[in-house]
Amino acid sequence: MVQLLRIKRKTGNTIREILLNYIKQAILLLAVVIIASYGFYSLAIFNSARENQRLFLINDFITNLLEVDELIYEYVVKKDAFSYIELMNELKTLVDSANDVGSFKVSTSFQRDMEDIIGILSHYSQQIDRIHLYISDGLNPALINEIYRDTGVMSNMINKAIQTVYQQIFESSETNSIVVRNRLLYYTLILVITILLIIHCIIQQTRNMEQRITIPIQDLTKEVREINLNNIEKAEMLADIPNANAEINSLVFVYNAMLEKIKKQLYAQKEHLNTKIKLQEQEMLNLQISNKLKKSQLLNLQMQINPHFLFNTLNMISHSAYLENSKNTVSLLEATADLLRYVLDYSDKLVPLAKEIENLGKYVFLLEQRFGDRIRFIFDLDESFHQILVPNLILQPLLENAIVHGVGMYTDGGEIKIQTAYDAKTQVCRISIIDNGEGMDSFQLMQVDSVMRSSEENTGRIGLANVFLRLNIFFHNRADIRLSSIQKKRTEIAILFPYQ
Amino acid sequence: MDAYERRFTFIAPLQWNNAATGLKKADENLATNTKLVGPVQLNINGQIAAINEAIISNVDGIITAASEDSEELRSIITKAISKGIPVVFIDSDLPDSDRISYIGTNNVRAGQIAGQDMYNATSGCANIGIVVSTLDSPNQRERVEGFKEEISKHESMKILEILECHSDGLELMEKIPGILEKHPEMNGLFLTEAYSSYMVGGILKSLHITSDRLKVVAFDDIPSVLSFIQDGTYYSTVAQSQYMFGYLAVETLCEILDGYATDDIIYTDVHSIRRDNFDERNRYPNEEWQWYSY
Repeated sequence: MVQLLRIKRKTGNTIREILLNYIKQAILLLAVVIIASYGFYSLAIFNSARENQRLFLINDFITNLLEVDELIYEYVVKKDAFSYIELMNELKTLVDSANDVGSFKVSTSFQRDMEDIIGILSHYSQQIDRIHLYISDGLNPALINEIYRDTGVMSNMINKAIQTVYQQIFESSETNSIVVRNRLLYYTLILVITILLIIHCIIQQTRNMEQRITIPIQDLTKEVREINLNNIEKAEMLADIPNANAEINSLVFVYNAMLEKIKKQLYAQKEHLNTKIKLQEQEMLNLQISNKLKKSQLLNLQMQINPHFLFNTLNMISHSAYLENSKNTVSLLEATADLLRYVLDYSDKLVPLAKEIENLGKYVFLLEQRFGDRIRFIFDLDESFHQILVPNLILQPLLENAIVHGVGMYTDGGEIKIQTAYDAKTQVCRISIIDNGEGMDSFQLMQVDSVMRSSEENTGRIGLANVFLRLNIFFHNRADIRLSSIQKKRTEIAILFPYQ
Repeated sequence: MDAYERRFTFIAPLQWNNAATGLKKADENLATNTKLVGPVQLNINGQIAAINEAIISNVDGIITAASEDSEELRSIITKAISKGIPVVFIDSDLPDSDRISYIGTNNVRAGQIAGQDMYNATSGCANIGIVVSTLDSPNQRERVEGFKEEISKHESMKILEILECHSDGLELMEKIPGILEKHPEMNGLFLTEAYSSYMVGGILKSLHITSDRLKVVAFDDIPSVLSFIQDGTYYSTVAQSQYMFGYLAVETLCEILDGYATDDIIYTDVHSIRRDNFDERNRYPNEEWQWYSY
């Protein structure tokens, strides 16, 4: 049951969320690229910067060494405290510098070479101390010079050694720059690949957005355009769009709900209309029936008037015949009068079956007078149910038919049986008029039967249809008249109705 | 390096890569650092200067070899020892110097082995020529001595002449054909050191002198010598183990620094390589090392 008051939202991101996600991811990826490029470029630069720094330090060392050399010479010449202090300061700087360089992590042989140099430096320092001692003690300049020469030799040793070291670092920095260049190439390659991947991701994301935003909207629009408002019952519900956004899902959902509601309304309206039409038809039928009734009532009335005049006339004739002493004529006239009375008195009324049979008997009397030996009349009655009420004048027309269309032409041997029976099992009363007359073939039977059942007025056999109609009015369509016929042998008209 | 490694310097007369391999292996095992210092050509003054530099660099130990018997060499060794730096010699000794240990071949023994080879090669009948680098070198003298000792056991073996080639290619190319011409009856040649062993094979080949005429006993197991043995130009060579020189030198220095007493002379393996025992020879990795030149 659709409850429009509570629109259930199918889970899915709103368009806003989707877009935000997209932007977030794009920013993230961009950040990654920026950080990565910054990272490796600075790494590359750091490496080369470090190399340069080392070379500078070694340069400083060499410069220091030369300065110390000069300061030794100065001190030897000047022999003053100031020169000595300067010398010692510079020497300390030199030693510190050597230790700094020694701390580089370059290679095993580099480390070893620096240790050797530091060893020489300590001897160098020792010699300088001896010079100082000799000068302080005022010793022979020749001795001092000897040691000075020695320091010169050591300084050369150091110089040569440091040149080798410098060469090593230079070469390593050269190889490093090749390595760095290779690494740069490698990293650039990685960066390019990363960027391509990112572009791929972005394309994927855009496709994803298209899938989730643009396409659902387009699909929905297309489907909705195809709806024919004039034929809205045939309109189909929209299918769920997979992986769409929340807004589209809501639209689809609500659209379907509204469509369903409309359809239901239309259906209800149609039903209402159909019922109305049915009612009208029923009314029409009723009118028709009441019309018919009115017509037959009218006929009845008409018929009532005429018979009264006839009846009076018959009475007069009977009286006259009596005066002429014609007993036969009197009885005939009396029978006729009875018949007529019956018609007048009970027209359109209900009579016990016994009365109807009585009336039929009077008619048969007249017929016997007329037909003599030509037709024999037999009564086969089950009088147990003769108290049942039936419409009047249902048997006479049938008997008439049996004569007119059955045995009337026979010059002899004609037989008409009037039979009543009650089947207690089915509770059905049966009144049959059986004759051994002409009969009908199956086609004629069918025709007569169909005419009987139709409520048409213009028929050749007014009686049968009339009887059928009146029976069914009284017995509420539970009565029937069955016709059967074996030509020239046996024709039966049977009235069946339920015992009430 | 975090831990303090002992610094040794090997000052070699030439760039002996086999010895260097041994040194480097010992470095690996004993956590030491040995610097390789050596020239392309013999240079005794340079060698002495290099030893001096090593002393001034305050190294923990010096390894060297007596390429020459020189007074300056002796005094620089003394200087090193006086500064507390232990010194060991390999390959060629300076026995009356202050060096602590010598690791090398028993050259007399080597000569004897060579003599035995010569006897086998010539079936005891030989007129032999000997090529040395220089008779000033104690190594050379000892090898000749050992050889002579062995030869003297056999009457039909005698030494015709001893040549000095001074490890000079031109000298060899001049003197070898000369000596062969001079002594047509010479059927045996003893080369007492690596350089001549390296050169002479080629010279003999160019003179089309095969082992039918001349049985050659060479020295050292450098690749060219080995190939001369394989192709039959030489009968045999006396192989030293320079690898072990280097290895044991570092080991000995460590022992000295650790306070142990070490032997004055440590002999290493010497054996003869011929064609028949060629595959059983000692094989050491053949590597080139970085040398600091002087």
